[in-house]
Amino acid sequence: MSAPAVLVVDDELGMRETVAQILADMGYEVTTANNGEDALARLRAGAYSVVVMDIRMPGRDGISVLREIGAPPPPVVLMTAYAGDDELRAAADAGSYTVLHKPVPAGRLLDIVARAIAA
Amino acid sequence: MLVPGVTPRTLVYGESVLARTTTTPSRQNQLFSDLDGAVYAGNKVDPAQLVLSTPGFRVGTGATRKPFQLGADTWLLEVSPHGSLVSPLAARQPWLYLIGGLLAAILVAALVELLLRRRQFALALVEERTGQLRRSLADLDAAQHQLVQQERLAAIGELASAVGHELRNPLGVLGNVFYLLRSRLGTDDPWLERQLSTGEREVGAATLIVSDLLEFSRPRQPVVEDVDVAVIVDEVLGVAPPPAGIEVARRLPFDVPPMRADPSQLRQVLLNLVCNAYDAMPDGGLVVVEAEHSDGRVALTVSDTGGGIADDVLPRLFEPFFTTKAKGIGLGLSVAHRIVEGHRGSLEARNRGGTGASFTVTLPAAAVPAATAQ
Repeated sequence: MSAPAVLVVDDELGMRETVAQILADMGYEVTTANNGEDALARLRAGAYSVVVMDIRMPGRDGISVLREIGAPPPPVVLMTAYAGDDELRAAADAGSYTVLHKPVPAGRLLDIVARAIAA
Repeated sequence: MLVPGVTPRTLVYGESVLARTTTTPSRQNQLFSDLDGAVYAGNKVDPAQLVLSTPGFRVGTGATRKPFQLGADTWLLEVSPHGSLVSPLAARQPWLYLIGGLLAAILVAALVELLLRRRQFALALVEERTGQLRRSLADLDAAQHQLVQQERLAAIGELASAVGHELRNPLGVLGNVFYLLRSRLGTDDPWLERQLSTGEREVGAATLIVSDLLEFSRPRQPVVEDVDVAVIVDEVLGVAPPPAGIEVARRLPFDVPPMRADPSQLRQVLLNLVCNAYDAMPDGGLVVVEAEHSDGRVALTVSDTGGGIADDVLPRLFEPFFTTKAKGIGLGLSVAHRIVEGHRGSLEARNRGGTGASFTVTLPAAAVPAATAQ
């Protein structure tokens, strides 16, 4: 059985690379995208067990990407450094699995990803 | 009517000469009869022997008005002018004077009392109005000061919020880097372990400051879910490992149900409590994190073996910007308190009888599944 595929989407290089590395170290097959358009292209091209995505990105943001993902969408774990109540509500309405507030401890990230895949 | 045998040389009515010795007795008699006042003529030798008396008159001798000799007998004659009956009347009935005086005194006293009362009332009114005015001015001053403070705080809050948000990403990356380093390098080397722990703890402290600032400037509603107590405690201790000299004991029974909480907010509360416990023991000590479950609520207590909380500090513990530390901005416990209240829970601090302090967060427990409950 192949490792679950995870798409990590973040415009910040440091965050994108370290999150991808933490997940890869746990055995996930990780693909990265550095903006919303890139993420949509990869989601259309391949299947992912879970998406870990930043909300605020230049151009198309995480919530917009979530709305665009065709059915059946994989569980999407959104991450944010900014979210207020309105943004959290919008994320929930768009169908996110959960929203994590940065900085996210690695242990919590791994726990949430495992749960999202199991769900 | 004239006293028999008396021939006054001069009769005086007030300042007027009424009769002279040359006046004939009939003339004198007529003079006395014309006076509708009173004549008193008494025998000086025997004053009780009243010869003639009508109230009000005095008969004198010239300007001196002394009693004078009348023939062989000595007579005392008194003459008063018309209308001057008061004096003799009062002389004979002194109670009239007393009553009159008393009534006048009462009237004057009442008048004085009334005036004094009016003055006191006016003074009290002026004092009261002045006080009201002073209070209004003080209220206005306070309101203006508060508005200025609020505007300053709002401006600071905006700036802090913007900076805080920008710092969350790099802090997150740093945390991830420490995690990756630890997972690759292992913890067999005590020196390496110490450096990693120090790095993680400082990142955790910076993260906490930023989170407190953001939560204070822009509080948000909790998004509650079931939070496993042991998991959240481990997360917190992972982000904020104890400094050298401090031991941490976890007393988390397996049968304690999850708490209903916003995980990131609960983590922030516990981080504040754990870091406060560390700060309370600069010379080392023991931190105990323990959980209890009763009546549908879970109580999570963080205790230390430090110096405890001073009596004058205890009531102000949850005030924003109140701190007893040389470092720190005094937002941690205030924000923790507000977060817990947002969960309809409670945060209580107490001294443990000279053996340190403890803080207890009590939140609703998640519903226990029927299978687990049996």
